[in-house]
Amino acid sequence: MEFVYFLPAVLVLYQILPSAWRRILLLLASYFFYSVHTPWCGLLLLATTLVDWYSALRIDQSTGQKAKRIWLFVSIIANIGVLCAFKYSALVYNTFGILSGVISDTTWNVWDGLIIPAGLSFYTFQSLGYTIDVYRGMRAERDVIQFGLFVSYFPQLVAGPIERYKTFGTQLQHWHRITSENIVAGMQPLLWGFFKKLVVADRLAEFVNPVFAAPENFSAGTLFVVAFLFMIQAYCDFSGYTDIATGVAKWLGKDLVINWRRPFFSKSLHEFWQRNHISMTSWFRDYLYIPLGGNRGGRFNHFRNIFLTFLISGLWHGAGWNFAIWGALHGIVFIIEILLRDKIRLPFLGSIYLLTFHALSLIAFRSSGFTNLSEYYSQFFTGSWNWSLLCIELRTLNDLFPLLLTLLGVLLFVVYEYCEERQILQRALTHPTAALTLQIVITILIFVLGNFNTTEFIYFHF
Amino acid sequence: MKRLLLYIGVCTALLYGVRELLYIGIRSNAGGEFGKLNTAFRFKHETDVLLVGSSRAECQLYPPILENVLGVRVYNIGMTGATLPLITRCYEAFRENSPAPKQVVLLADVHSLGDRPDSIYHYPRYFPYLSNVKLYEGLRELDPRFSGFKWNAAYSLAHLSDSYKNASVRGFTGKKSKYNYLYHKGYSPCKAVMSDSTFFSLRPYAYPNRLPEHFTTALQELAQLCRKDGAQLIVLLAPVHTSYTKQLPGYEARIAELQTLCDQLQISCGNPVSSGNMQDRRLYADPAHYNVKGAILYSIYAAKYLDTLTQ
Repeated sequence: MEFVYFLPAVLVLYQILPSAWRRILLLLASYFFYSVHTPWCGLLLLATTLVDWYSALRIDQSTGQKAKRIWLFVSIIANIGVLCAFKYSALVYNTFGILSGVISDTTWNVWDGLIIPAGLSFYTFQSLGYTIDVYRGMRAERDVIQFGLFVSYFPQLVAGPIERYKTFGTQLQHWHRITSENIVAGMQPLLWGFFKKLVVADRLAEFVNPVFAAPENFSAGTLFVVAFLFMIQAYCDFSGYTDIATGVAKWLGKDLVINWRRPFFSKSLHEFWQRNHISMTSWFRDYLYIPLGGNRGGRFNHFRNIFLTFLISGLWHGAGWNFAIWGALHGIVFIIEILLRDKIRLPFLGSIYLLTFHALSLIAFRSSGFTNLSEYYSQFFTGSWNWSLLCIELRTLNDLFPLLLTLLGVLLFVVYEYCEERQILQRALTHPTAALTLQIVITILIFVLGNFNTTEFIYFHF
Repeated sequence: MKRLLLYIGVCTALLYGVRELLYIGIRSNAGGEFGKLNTAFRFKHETDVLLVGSSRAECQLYPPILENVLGVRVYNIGMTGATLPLITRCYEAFRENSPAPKQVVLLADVHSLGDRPDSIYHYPRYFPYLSNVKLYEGLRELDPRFSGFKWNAAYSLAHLSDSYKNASVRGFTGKKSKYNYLYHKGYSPCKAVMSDSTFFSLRPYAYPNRLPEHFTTALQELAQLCRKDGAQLIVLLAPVHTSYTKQLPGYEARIAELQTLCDQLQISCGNPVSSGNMQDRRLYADPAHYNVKGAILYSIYAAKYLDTLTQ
């Protein structure tokens, strides 16, 4: 909600200030936005930014490979250290505590008071990617303000996409006045982002959350459907944020990387990961999978590298073994797909297989922990598949009217995505009147169908 | 720039249009909660006795019983979650379209003095009625956001939850749903269902060590308004189960304070139910509300009490 006041204030000031001051305004605004509720998080961001900026500078200036390696190591330690300290320490503590018998359960631990700074995984990876690029030969940025803005740029700071300095950092040199063309261009993704978040994701959350809170109370059929609902919710929540960030960045004349290309239309897991959370996938490919050896060194090494990359990307999403399971499941199925690639072709069934696998794997992603996950899966495999219970159980979660509005929201989302996939929308939107009409319709739908009670994005926790 | 202005213009117009459409639908409800709000804030409604208060009044005073005993017309404008300042504003808003009643009966909640007067329970239900000037001004005084709710369509639409949209659809189609709780002459039975363990373990909010200023000011205002209207104001103590009130430090002292204040304002104040009566758990839906059985019995007690006052 604060963003509704914060953004216009920043845009007005941006327009008033002379060009040279605009980036300073955006840097200050970004830090204010990030640290307004927890000031120490801003200090942490500042510290990691300065370490990475200085390390990259030293890597660039060093002539010897050894010195370069040392400064790269400093940057890696700083970023991964911060991630481990704030995000993974509780996981390590709980795991070793339970294994050694020091603690009996994970319902309470000494780390309960520890807050994970929002977007920590995103900005540390973005910043770390930069130092690795400098180590690989890219020129380091001398201007600390520009680099600071690259790391903290408020539209995409807390939930990505993970930008590269080569493509995004260089855009930060010039800050032109906001033009009506940019406003119009940014409006479409911005509005569609809000639609996905408020009309689809937040409405679905009202059905998904109570089921995941007590899966033992629901039939297997309901759990199956709710897994699909969460799949849509998670996508709309995260891609909705990215779309909003893309729209706001566009207003300021900047282009963020395309992070989603309608992954639900994929026909295999390979295709899915080329369309889903592209900036993260390409980060893991370039900075983990390839340095591990990629597909070189024989089949075993190739598969090991794939598995490790997925496992670590699972843990990147959250500090819990359920996230590791989710990553591992994707790794295993990805490998199986490689093994069967030349033997089986599933042109139509591919979509069904992909969506079913992704929805069922996301149960691990959404679970609050290992116990919750085992409860869900055990009820799923042993519970009743009486489909008549589905409607009754969904009605116990919410009334018929909200259920119908939710279904309407999902239906509109599917139609829009289909039109985008088939390029129908792009063709139609070339006509200014059609584009304007669509934007007006989306705006009205947001206010009529939107759920404004929930405001937090799922990926803020990552 | 032209396209941007067109977008803003059309969106604004449509948002106001959609909001008005929703409000028309809500106001078209003949029965239920919005039927009552129509009577309270839109229509001219003549009554001899007006019952005012919070949910205690709404679900514990059944007008037909009072009408039977007193032989006059009775209507209940008790509003769930209303604090005394809001109750006073609701009375003023009722008077905007309707003639003054002969008697105004206030069911005073002495157990909930810790409630914040600026936090209006289920506030979007008042949105379709903000054309009632007294209601709008009163609500705005308590919660400044009401200026935004009245003038900014986008802001108010963002606060209208599904139940209001459902009410609007029902208003247009004339169909009933689970939101159409039973309402009769402003009375609606308490919907709470509570287990015994929850009933006896319910803890009250923080309780003040004296009558809060907003409470005394609002009572003075209400007394003044009634005097101006030539209506007799009668204060009844809202019944609450002792399992709840015994946890309120100084509850009896607050009642004594209220009685002193009523004496100063020359208002009749009393409890229709003598001490110890009507405390049976089976009469309560929750510790602060009677169920239907309790409400019928309490209405008989209240009617007899009012009858003795008028004789």
